[in-house]
Amino acid sequence: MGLMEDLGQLQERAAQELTTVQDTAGLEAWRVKYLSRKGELSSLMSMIGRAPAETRAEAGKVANAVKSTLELLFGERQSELEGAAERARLEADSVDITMPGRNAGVGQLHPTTLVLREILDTFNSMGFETVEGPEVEWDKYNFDMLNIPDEHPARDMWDTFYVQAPPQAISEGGLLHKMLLRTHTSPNQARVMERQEPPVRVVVPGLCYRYEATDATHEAMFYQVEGLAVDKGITMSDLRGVLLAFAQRLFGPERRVRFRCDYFPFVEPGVDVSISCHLCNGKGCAVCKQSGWIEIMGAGMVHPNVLQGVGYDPEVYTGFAFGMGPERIALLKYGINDIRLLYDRDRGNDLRFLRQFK
Amino acid sequence: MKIPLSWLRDYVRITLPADELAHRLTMAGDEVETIIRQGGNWQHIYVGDVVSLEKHPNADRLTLARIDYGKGEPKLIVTGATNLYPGAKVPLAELGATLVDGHSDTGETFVVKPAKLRGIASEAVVCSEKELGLSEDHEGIMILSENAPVGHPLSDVLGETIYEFNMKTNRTDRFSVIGVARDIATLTNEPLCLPTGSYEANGPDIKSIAKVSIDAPDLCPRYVAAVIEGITIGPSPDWMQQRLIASGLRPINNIVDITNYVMLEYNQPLHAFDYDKLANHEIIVRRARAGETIRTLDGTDRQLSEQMLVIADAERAVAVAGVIGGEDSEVTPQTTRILLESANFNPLSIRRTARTLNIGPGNEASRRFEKGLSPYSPPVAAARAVQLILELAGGTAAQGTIDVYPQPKPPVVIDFPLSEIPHLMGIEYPLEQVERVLRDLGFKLEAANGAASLAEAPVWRVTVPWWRTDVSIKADLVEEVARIIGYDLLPSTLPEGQPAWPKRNEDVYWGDVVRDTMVAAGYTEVITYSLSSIERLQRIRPQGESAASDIGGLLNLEIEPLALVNPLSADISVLRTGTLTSMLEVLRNNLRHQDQDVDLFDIGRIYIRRPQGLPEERRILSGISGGWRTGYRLGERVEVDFFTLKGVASAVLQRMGIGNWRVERIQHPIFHPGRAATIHVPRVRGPVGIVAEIHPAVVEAFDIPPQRVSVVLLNLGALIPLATDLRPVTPISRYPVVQRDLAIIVDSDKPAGQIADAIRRAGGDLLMDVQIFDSYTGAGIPEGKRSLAFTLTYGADRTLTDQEVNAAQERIIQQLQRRFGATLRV
Repeated sequence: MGLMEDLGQLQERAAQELTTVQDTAGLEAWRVKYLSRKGELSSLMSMIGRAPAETRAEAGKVANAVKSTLELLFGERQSELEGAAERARLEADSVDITMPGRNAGVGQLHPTTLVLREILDTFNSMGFETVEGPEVEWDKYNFDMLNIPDEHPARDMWDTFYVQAPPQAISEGGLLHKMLLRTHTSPNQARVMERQEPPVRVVVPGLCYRYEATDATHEAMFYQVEGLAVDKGITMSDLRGVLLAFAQRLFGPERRVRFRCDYFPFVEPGVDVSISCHLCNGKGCAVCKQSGWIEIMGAGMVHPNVLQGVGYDPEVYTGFAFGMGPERIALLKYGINDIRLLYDRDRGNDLRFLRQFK
Repeated sequence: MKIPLSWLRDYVRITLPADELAHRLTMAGDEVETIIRQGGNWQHIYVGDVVSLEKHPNADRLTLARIDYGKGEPKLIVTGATNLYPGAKVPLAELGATLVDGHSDTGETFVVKPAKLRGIASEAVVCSEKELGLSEDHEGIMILSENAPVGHPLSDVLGETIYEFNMKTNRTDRFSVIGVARDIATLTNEPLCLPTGSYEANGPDIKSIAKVSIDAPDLCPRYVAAVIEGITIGPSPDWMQQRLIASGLRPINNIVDITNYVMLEYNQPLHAFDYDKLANHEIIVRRARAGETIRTLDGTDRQLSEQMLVIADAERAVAVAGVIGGEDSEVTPQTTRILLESANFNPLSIRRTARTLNIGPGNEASRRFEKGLSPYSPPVAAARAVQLILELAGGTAAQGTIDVYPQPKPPVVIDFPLSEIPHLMGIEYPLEQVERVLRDLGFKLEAANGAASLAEAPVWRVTVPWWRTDVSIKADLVEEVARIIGYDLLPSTLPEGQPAWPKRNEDVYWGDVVRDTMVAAGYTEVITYSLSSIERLQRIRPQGESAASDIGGLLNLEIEPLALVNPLSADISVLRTGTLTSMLEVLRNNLRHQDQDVDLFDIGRIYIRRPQGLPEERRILSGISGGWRTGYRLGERVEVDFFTLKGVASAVLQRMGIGNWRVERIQHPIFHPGRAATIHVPRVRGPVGIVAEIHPAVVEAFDIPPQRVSVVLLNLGALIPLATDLRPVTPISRYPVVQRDLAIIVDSDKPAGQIADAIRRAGGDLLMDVQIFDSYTGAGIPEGKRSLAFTLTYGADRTLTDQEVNAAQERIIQQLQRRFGATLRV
């Protein structure tokens, strides 16, 4: 048996054995057996020195070739095994992707807040500044300054909660005032105009109260958003344009706006504002009661008496005002069928309802 | 108010379909709420004639009636009704007819089917008013007029299309058939034909047989009286009865029906007195005397006061003016002579009197007078009524009327610059159209300031017709034109000119910032009622616990809440002075449906009375959490406690740019004695917030299952003025930082926060951050002590040396030893 043959056999045997190695431990054993300093290849190579001189060079060459072949095979097998191990590890790490995601722990806003933000954003972008006012009001602001004098039958239009005022509280400037829960945000028309000169462009969100038994469409406590613009040259066409922009932003670019003659003591002319129904696009459905139109607010040109009351000259300045209920808009927008889901002590503020607005 | 279309047709030609006309009227401000098609579903219902009646052989309470309705043999009907009599005309419904269920409150219907009652088959049914959908009356069978044509479909006899109008308006003229007819005429460009009100008066001069004086002209500006002699009281004709029924009034007799009919026509209530029962045939309009009483038409004895206006004869009050008549002087079947009153009364006085006497808005007369009627209408309505009385009740009218009108009111005249239309509307309407609309509505137009014609005049002088009590200014005229021509012509423009400088509303802005922070922290927004009751507000106070401080104006248990004068119910009768009750209630409600992840917040106001003026409305953030939250691992739940809510408070304050806040331990019976703190910020005296766990006794008082309930309350009213978007940003060092851990053992009652503060101060400039990462008691730590561990981060704008850090660390350790008796844990 010559050294050359031994080397050839070793290579063959080692390569063959390597294919049966299945793990890193086996691979290491193989390496120790064949390639380590005390391995089989080393012991064959140590014999080269003792080989006849004429074959020595040739044997050295062959031995080196065997060595590099085995090392190459070793490297390949090693990456193969490592890749397989990594694959197996990742496979074992596989999950049921249909299991639920972990709770991100995010809460959500009340639907009224969502709608209020949309309303205010729209009007803010048209130059209307947001202001607020007191919920507990004097009848002076809630009624008198809005062209609704005491005991005027128009006061019956607002069912009012009166507040038991502390005795000192009711005489402001020598006049007897009644304290009440504002029935609308309109008192801020007078409050804002008293504070500043024209031009005025404000929106006033806030809670209002009416002495009204609660049912699916009525709440004793509700929000309102008032709008007011007073300047030289403000017209009802401007009112229509501003409300059209509003309707299209909230309910889509197809919406149209319709005015119907209506009576509110603090505007003249006064109108009721409808938008074309966003559900049937004006064709008629259950929500719009087959009319194609949905009433969403009252509006009109500020009554000259209101302007005069705050010291604005109605010959010089004109203005428009509007008032809307965000709850009604929320009900329409989200298809909520019962206003009590919003605030009612028993039915309202239920997480099962609120979570739907996530 | 209901008006049958057939009545309107008396005055104006109507060619539009009923729903289209209703739409036109609605758009013009005459809001038709409902179109009632009376008789529209009366199939198989006819006028029947009761031929005979007999007792049911097997039942005492039932009657067998044979009713003829012109189709073959009379039908045999079994009925429980007791008001039938032979010859009565009744509505008869054949099998298959649809009727309203007489015992239903919701107007459900049923179809007439064959039925046997105690062994006898009923071949049809006779109907009550309710079953026909005419009224709520199900007491007996509806008895029709004796002239009703037997065998005719009932819809031919009683069928009507009726408009029901919304009464929300300032236009008193619209409460009348003629007022609506005028709007229809103007809208459809048709002529209006009104009753003449003319009659032949053959009686004596009225002044020789009656006297009227007004003692209280402030409450009664005008009083018109007419006298008719020789009348015959009886039922009014069918057409009149049907119109009254369709309008919601009950026919009584011809005289009363005529006064009601004319009231509906002209919106002028009238009253008929039995002339022979008026002492001295005299009418005195005066204030009631102290202690005076009257028995009114409804049989009630009423106590009058000196503020009330009465109609009196020479001896006593015979009517409460404009509200209700007296029983003594009312028209009876024996009456032959009447004095007809058509007057104008002060609306406020009527309103107060009706309220004091508890006569509700259902009273047709006072409801109309309350709105303020025109002093011009009494003579017009009186003439129309006399015309109808002579026609329908016979008799002779006295010559003339007595018309006491001490201070005649001039008509309202408005100078109307046509430029007012574009001024308010933004567009011009064709001049001819403006003229036509105003004239059709009854306005008189003249060119003002000497202009030759309307077409050339920039200003019109407009005389307002007497029935339009609502029109007094230029803008009213613009509305008249716009509502008839329609608003659809208006373009959509945006206001010109510079809007005001855009300013941010700080309250709204920071409110939204806080909301977003709360949502990001996992909280869901609720909006709770601002109304509460004292009992509810006090429910957070544990039983037997005495008064405690109000804690920074957040609890306010000692402040008397502002109460409503007229609460809807006892549990929402005051304005809340705190939010904790609302929050605990809403938490409890939600815990009924889920036992974890109930984390809620509210930004609402509380209302604190002031000695003068309006109350303070303080904006409060309230956050509340139930005891458990979904954990990180599946099925795991973690406990929510004081520290969770303290973290929320921290996030909110940080987001508002408010640093340097600190907590102080508080003891308060509402809160867990060891887990409650107030929050303090620099520059504000007293606490601005509370973070705490609720005392278990309070949790129990709210029927919340036992668990930790934690809250945070922040007085946003005090915090928002301190809030800022600005942040003192320091550059990030490019050099590595050095972190050292420090574990010490100290007495358990030494607050970790104070120790951390001491570390910060002792650490000097190089110490960038201190974090507590462990707090431990138990094995290895002596009783009464705890181990606290901190991570200290050192850094500077250069690479630090070990010596520098060691020196700082040494200073800190010495400081902790000196101040807190701390020892290093090794």
